[in-house]
Amino acid sequence: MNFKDAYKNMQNDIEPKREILNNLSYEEDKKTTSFKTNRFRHSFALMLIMVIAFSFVYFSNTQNQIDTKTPKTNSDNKTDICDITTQISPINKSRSIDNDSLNPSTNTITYDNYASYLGFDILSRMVIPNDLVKNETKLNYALENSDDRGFFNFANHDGTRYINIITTKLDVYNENYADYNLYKKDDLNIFVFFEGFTKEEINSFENSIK
Amino acid sequence: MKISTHEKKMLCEKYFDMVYRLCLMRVKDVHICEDITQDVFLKFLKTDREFESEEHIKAWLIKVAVNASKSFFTSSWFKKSEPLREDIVFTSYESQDLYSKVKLLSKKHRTVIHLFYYEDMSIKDIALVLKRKESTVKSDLFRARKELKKLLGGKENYEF
Repeated sequence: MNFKDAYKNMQNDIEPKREILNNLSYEEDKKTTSFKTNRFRHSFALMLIMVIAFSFVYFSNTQNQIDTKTPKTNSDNKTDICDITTQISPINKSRSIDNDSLNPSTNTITYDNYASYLGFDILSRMVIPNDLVKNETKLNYALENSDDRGFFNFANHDGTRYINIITTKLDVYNENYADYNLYKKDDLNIFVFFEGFTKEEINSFENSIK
Repeated sequence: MKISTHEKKMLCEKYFDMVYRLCLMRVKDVHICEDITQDVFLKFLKTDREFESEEHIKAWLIKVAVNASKSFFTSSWFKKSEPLREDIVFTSYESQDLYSKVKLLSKKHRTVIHLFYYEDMSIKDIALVLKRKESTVKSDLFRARKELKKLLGGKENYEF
């Protein structure tokens, strides 16, 4: 038997309920339309309210974040750096700061010391997959993938150890901040962009260890 | 051409079966099919667009029916509810059997099979109505036939 005929026979066996069509009238349609329109208006109004509420919350949060980024006074320096250190990495929380590296007699402030102070000397013991960030693009990668505060995470292959690398989003920070310090570990071939501390903060740091 | 309300009603009568059957093959549920069919014709009665020909109207109705059933599947109502299944009673065992097998095909395949075998539409027309490539429709049809042959248990009495 031809499938087409069988299929047509099967379809012809189905009796559509034509009452639906009898119920359709233009007037009824208008009613339905007006009901649907009203429903649409209600949904639209509700959505608009939600959008406004969301925008309000979002912009308030953004404003708060900007406020926290404003440079702090010299008197707050210690706390500020410690706060940042706390934010840097879960590993760093458990590490004690290597005080030798801050020995005033042997150290002046350098980016290495800065890194050490912030716990970034741990880099030398970390293996970060090379394919994660290609040499040429790592800076862009860092900038593109950092969050609003300039932080982003790298995970190791085994996924157990994390390193937080501070990056900067150039468009977020203003001229009050010092130059962005580029830190490179040749053995690992990794760039770390330090968040631009204010010049005052760096000076204060220098003063504190002199 | 501008269609009067009266003409629209006549066209509703004419294409009712087509839309109903297409919706039924897509949603596999009589009650939902009725809802969607009603929606399609409400849209048709409401629309102010000008159609070029009756063929254009037919294609429009098919397209709206396909879209309406598609949006039904994506609606939150469908996701949250379990529809009542009411199977259609057929006069012959062959039809019953064939219907139950066609129902097992995917929605995409059921649509193509229906338009090709029941509406006698060419692959080109199906592609135009469903806004797909001809090659896609062709391969869908091929796969649907292959699957149907398999579902029908290798019955040799059907020639595709």
